[in-house]
Amino acid sequence: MSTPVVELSGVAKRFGGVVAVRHVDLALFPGEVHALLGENGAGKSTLVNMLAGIHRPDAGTITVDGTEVTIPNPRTSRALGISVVHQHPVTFPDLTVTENIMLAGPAPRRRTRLLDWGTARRHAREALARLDVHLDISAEVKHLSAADQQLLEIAKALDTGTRLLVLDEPTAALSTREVDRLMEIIARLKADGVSVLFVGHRLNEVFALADRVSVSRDGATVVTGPAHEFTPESAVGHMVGRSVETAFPKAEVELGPVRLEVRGLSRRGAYTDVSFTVRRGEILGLAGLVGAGRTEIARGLFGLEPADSGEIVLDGAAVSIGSPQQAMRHGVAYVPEDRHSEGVVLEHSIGFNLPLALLERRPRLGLLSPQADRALAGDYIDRLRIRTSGPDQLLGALSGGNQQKVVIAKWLATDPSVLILDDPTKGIDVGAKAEVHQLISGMAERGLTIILISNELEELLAVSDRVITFYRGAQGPEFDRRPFEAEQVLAAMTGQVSDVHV
Amino acid sequence: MSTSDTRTAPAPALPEPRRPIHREAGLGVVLVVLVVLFATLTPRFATGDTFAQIGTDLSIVLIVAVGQALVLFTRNIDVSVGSTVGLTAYLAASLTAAVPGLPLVLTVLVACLLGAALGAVNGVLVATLKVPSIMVTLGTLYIFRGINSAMAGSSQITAQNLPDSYSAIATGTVLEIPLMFLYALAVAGLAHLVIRHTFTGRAMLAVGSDPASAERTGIASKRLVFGAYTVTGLLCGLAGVLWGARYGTVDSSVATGFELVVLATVVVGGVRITGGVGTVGGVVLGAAILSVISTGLALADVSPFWLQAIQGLVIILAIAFDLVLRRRLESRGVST
Repeated sequence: MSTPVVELSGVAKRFGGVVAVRHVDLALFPGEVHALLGENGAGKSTLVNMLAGIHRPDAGTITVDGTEVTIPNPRTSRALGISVVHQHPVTFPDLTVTENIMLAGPAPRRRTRLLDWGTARRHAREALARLDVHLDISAEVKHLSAADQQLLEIAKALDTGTRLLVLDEPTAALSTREVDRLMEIIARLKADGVSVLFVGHRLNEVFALADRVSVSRDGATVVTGPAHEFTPESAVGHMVGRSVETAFPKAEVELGPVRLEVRGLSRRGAYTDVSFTVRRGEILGLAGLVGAGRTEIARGLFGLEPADSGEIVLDGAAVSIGSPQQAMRHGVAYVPEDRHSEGVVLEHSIGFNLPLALLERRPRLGLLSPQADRALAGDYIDRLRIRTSGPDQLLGALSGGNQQKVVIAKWLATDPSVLILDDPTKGIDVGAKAEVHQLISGMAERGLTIILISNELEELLAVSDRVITFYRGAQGPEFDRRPFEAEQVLAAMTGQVSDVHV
Repeated sequence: MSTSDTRTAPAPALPEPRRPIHREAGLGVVLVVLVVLFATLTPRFATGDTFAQIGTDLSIVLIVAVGQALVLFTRNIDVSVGSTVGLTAYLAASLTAAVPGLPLVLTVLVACLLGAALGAVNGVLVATLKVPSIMVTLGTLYIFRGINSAMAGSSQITAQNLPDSYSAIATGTVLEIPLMFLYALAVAGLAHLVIRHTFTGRAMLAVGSDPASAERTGIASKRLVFGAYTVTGLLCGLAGVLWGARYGTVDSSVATGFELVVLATVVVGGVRITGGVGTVGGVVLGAAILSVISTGLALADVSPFWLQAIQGLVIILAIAFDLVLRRRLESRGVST
């Protein structure tokens, strides 16, 4: 067998008293796509950071082409031919696309040591062209969509010297179409003899392209083998250390009367002529690619960006929702897509965060009651099984899944009748995901009307009673549960069918 | 629509290529409007003497403001600049008075090195000990001023103690352009070159734009922050010499409160106080705008009792005008 491009042997890393990586062995060969699977907290990101030169291993060795190396900083890592795409974009929002690409690599300089802007712009154009990505290179990155920022990340990482490409959950912000493009890119790199380490937990993607699979659990690689020797079930079994039922628990719920009806809702540049009804106890899924208008519809229903025209009918009465305050008064709650920037305050405790959505209902100048807030928090910690040391724990200290539960709890505390969830399991691990699904299902059982948006079709189909597709702001075909045909839904949301009636 | 149609469908059209409009455009308009305004208000404004006066007035502020901008770019702040200017002004003047015949170049060099050393103290504390910069520099504001007071007591160094060549640095002109203004422009030009055309400059903005990303990109943030403070100190040293040369009298209260003038200049110049955004050109325009406002108001016979209040009002109006202009341009999809 050929020499691995990069090999890790017995690598370990601890932070203070916490062991992040216990013992990892990993060999990455030229032209191989290697998937590293593991739940959040399995040490995957720490491993990536060691390859990226951000953390130094406490024990073990890293070799490149059979020679032992130390990687003291990200520039060394890159010089060794290791290109890392981090889970969260490493970009400079105030700088342009060109500047971001330039800062990632060796910058083109003139003999005077001044920057050669012409060459920098050419590099940027070439880097984007390699991925067939079309971006305005003089745009500031903060003006790009999340998906474009992720593509920029990959463009930045790749250069002609790349020997190993590490992708740390690269698809979290991407829609199906972009994931497909990423898969094409990976296939092309593989053909060029580049080794690709694909870190993630979205199994279907992994099995579509990996040659070999390694599973990491509690900071150690527990198994490595050819991809065909794994099934999604067996991989998940290795990840959690036991075999689990992968089927999502969706309770059968007796649907009540129509609670929410939307008639001809439109907003310029976002969506046109959207009409649907949702009943009591029903979970309605909105399917579509990123940018199809789903989030905008949700924001419209919640009054964040009110629709230009159309009608919203709640329990038979037409209502106008022009602001989130009005939406909340009508019992509509919205858990946003980006919980970090819109949902919660990480620097504060659960007891602080939970009643935030309730503040509007309290007397303006009334005193807050910390006891009541803690009691409320305690109640939801029990009901939603939030894993925490108590109401006083800072939100930032919780895992992603538990943070998401707090966000949902915050809105449940307002006792809504319609709950809109926008990608509620984004970036949280398999176990926590199943719990959130269970929670959603349980809320529907208690008669809540739920509108669910998700970029994972699998999740949408598993949890929803009914799915409506959207393509570029236009409402497409609607599908009923049992049996959902994933291929048909996918075709509808990618605009490949426009008037199929199901 | 068939499947193959969809595959070959053109990608969504790109936004129109953005015409690059410099951030400074709005400030330039503000400056022109102010100049025209004052010129119509008072005939004494639009004269060569007044412009020379404005150029001289803004020089010291501009030199220090350029340093401050570098620090702000990295998402830090330096409120000790007034004290640093004061201390270096005192030391430079004392040195000149004590050693007659000392070459002027040497005085300037010593002042700059002293200033750089003071800046380096700030830099070390902020960059390596990770103490928030506002706390560190508030502390050194008092420490540097305290040292100054302890050394100077109630003594004064006046023009009589200083050689004529000393004040000549400040009063000289080239082609009727005040020398001081040329120094300040040189400093700004150099800083512009570094920020706009070197990797170091871009990296400073990157650190301020997203410190975590900077670390993951392997940018040496600490060194850049340390550098920004040291350069600011050095520029304060230069400003200290010019202060003594210009005003002729140096005591322990030189440049007290100067940090606020500097911060006003930088902020009016469009440098974001939370880092990552700003240009040296903007700072130059900011300095010019503030100087035009104060000189113009003084010439327009505004009651000296009201001068400061009106000055504040005009500053707010100027900033508001710039912001409105910039938002208009941005809403039309023009990158600013």
